[in-house]
This record gives sequence, C-alpha cells and structure tokens, in this order.
Amino acid sequence: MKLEKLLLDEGRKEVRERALGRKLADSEHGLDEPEDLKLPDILTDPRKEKLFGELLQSTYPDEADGIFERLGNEQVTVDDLAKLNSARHDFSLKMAEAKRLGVGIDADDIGLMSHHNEEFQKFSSLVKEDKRTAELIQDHFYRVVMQGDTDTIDRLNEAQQKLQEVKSSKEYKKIEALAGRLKDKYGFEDKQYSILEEGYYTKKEFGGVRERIKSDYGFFRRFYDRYERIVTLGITSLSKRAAKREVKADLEDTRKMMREHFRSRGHGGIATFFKSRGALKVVGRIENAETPEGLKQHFEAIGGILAASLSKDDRIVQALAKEAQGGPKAEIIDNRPPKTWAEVQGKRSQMTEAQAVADLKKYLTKRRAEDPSFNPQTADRSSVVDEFMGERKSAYEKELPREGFFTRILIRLFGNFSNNMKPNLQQANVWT
Amino acid sequence: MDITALGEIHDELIAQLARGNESGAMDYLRSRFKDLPEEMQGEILAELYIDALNEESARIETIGKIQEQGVAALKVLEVLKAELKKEAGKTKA
Repeated sequence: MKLEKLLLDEGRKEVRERALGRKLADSEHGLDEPEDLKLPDILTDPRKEKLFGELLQSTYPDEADGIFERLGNEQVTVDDLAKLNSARHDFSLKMAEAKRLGVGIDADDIGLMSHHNEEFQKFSSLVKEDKRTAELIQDHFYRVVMQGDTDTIDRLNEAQQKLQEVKSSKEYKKIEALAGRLKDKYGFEDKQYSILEEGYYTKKEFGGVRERIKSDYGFFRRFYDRYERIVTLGITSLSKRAAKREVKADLEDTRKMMREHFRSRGHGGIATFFKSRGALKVVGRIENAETPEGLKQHFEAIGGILAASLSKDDRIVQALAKEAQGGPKAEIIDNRPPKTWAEVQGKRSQMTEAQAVADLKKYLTKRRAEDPSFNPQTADRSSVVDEFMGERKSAYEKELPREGFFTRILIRLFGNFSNNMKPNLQQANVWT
Repeated sequence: MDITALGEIHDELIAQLARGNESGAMDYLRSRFKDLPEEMQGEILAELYIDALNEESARIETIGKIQEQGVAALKVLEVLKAELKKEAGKTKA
C-alpha cells in the first residue's frame, strides 16, 4: 500500500473521530467500516430523513427542531453544521448497526418463529404476509438504534447470540443434517415436511390411538383383546389391528404425496416404495430427536430402572429427573405479583387530552413558581411542551413495574400518545 | 391516528393487568392491533420476536440438555451394573 494512501486514511479517521467526539472502534473504520452517508443522500430519501430526524432529536433534544428549520430556510449556522456533520457520521454507523440487527429477519424467520411461538404467531397472523411482518420489525430496529434504546438493542443482541450458540450445538446439527438429507437425497422441500410428519407415527402416538380404541370396548371385546395378545405373545390383538387400520387411513395423504413426488422425479414403483420408506425413517429420526417429550420419557424410564432395581440411593436419579422436567422457558408476560399492576390502576385516564391539558396547566404554574422570570406567554411553546412531556413520561415510567412485555408496551403507548398530543398542547388555552 | 383510541387501549390494558388477567390483556391488545399506528405494530411484533428468539434458544437447549442427561443416566447405569456383577461374583466365590 502506498504511503499517501495510508496517510489519507489516517487523516480520514481523525476527521471522523473529531466529528463524532470519540474514538472509533476497529469495526467502525477500515475494511468493515460502514458506508459513509452524505447529507444529500440522507435528506433525499424519506425513510432515511425520518430516521435522521429521530437521531438528531435524541442527540440534541432541545435544538433539533431549530436546526431542521434553519436548514430548510438555508440559514444554518457554523454550530448547526458541526452538529449536522457529527450526526451524519453517527447516522452512518447506526444505519450499519441497524442493518446488522435486522439481518436474518426475513419471511422464513417469521414463519419459523410463528410456528414455534404461539403468542408471536397470534400477532404476526394479523399482518397479511410474513414479509410485511419482517419489514415492520426491521423498521422498528432502525428506530430503536437511532433513538439509542440500548435496552432493546442489548436484549436483541443477547437473544440472537444465544440462538447462534445453541444452533451450533451437536443436537441441532444432527437435526439439520437429517433435514438436509430429506432435501438432498429425497428431494423434499421444507414446506412438504408437515405432510411427511403426519405420515410418521411415533410409538407413543400409536399407543395413544390403541388406548382410545380400547376405551370404547365392552367387557367381552376387552377380554378377547387381552386373550389374543397373550396367546400371540403380543404380536397381534384386536385393538392393535384396529389401530393399524386407523393409522393406515391417516397415512394415505402422505403416501399419496410421496408417490406423486417420487413418480414425478422419474422413479418406478419399487424405487418409489423404498424411497418412501427411507424418507419416513428420516422423518422418524427427526421426530424422535426433536420431541423433548419423547426424550424425557426415555430418560425417565432409565431413571425408573435405576431407582427400582439397581440402586437404593435414588438421589442421583431424582436430581437428574428434576432437571429433565423442563428447561428454562422464556416468559412473554411479566409475572410480577398482580399487586404491582393493581397499584398502576390509578394511571388510568392519564392518556386523555383533557388530563394532559390539566397537567400542562399545573406544570406552567409550577415553572412560574420556581422561576419568576418564566413567562408562558412569551416562552417557546414547542420547547416547553417537549420538556413537560419528557417529565410526564419519566414520571409515568416510574409508576410501572420495572420490566416485562406490558411495561414496555405501555411506555410505547404513552410515548406515542405524547408525540400525537404535542401540537394540541401548543394550541391549548393555558398559555395566557 | 385517533388519540382517544390510544387512551382506550391503555386503560383497558391496565384494567386487565390490575385484575391479574395477563392473557386477557394479550387478547385485548391483539383485538386492537389494527387500530394502532404502524410504528407501534412494529414495536409489538419486535418485542414478541425477541421473546420468540429466546424461547427458540431455550427449546433447542432443552433438547440438548435432556440428551446429555440421558447419556449421563446410561453411564450411571453401566457403572452400577458393573458393581452388581462384581458383588455377584464375590457372593458366588
């Protein structure tokens, strides 16, 4: 590399660091550095402009509106330019951070999460397409990053990191490999898996069908079923044959799909038969590996043998069995005692225009009492309302339980309400 | 966006939560989802998405743990079997 280029790069780094007012991390400069966005790039793109506005608001809450106004009127000061320049550098870095957070959130991801998480599914199903859900979430992450909401960023980073860790586990890789075999060896697409899955009955599921059939038997059929099972040494029985018939009927759709699938790929009757059996075996292995319930029972059965016949000291078994009862489960809802929420009852009716106006009136009186030179009639209404709403919001946040899904949602609702109320409060009849 | 609707949603959520009815609050939020501004819809989905990510990790982790424990139990079983055989050998002798 030429020396001039090195010097140029060093100079550029210094310029960026000076604008930001801090040292750049290694990932923020050099090969991995994000695209340096110029002000026209930002201001001519409505989405970027909106996000840039949010960043400016969070960095310079008292001056942002003024800077934008002067920028619009082409009356920017040197100080404004310095602030815009600093914000522009910060914006480039934050856009890259938001992109990184949003990577991997696509329609497939939404589909997968909806499949595994009932609460998420309930909400994502309200949006027409998974792609749109992904966009809404990504947009949110952009705003979160611009507003410097480190709590949400940390939680997302932590969740993504954790998922990556477990995805690199042996068990996950095994399931992935089996799923890959279904695709590579048998040519099935992901979407066909649910039909294939229906075609595989685990022993437990088969037992369940048999038990249900048996429960409808009267005394004589029950007696005959048992008699036949003993005589044939468990090879067959009335209920077993009935369960097989029922399962076979259930499997018909899967078999039909598999037949059509393999025939369309040019396989003959015999190859189709063996390939179908092979594919179902793989599904079986996935099902058995993926179902914690089955593994739990397997483990408990071993524990039972240990406890009953081999060891009088079952402490080890108990300890292991206790752990196997279930791993950690992420809670969507904050499970603090209801008493905490009952205390919040008083916060109802806060989000009305009348209440906000009444509170503003009190706030202005308080400001006058604290500072006799404060005059509401001549004050900058926009700044006063911003300060008032900020105080009101932080007071509100303190009244809520500290953490949890609903705490976060209520804070967002309050924030949204406050933003919508600002113009009305500036016009309210309380300033004179 | 209708400011009154925001207030209504806020008050009803608090009422449900104060009664300890969190699932009711979730159902209510779902029923009013479309009345919320798009920004808030995104926020709710993102919150649930993060929770779903955590749950997914926990699910995969649990499978791994149970498998490990199953292997541990099998090892204990092997050791105890060997001990019993030894005991049986001694008794015969």
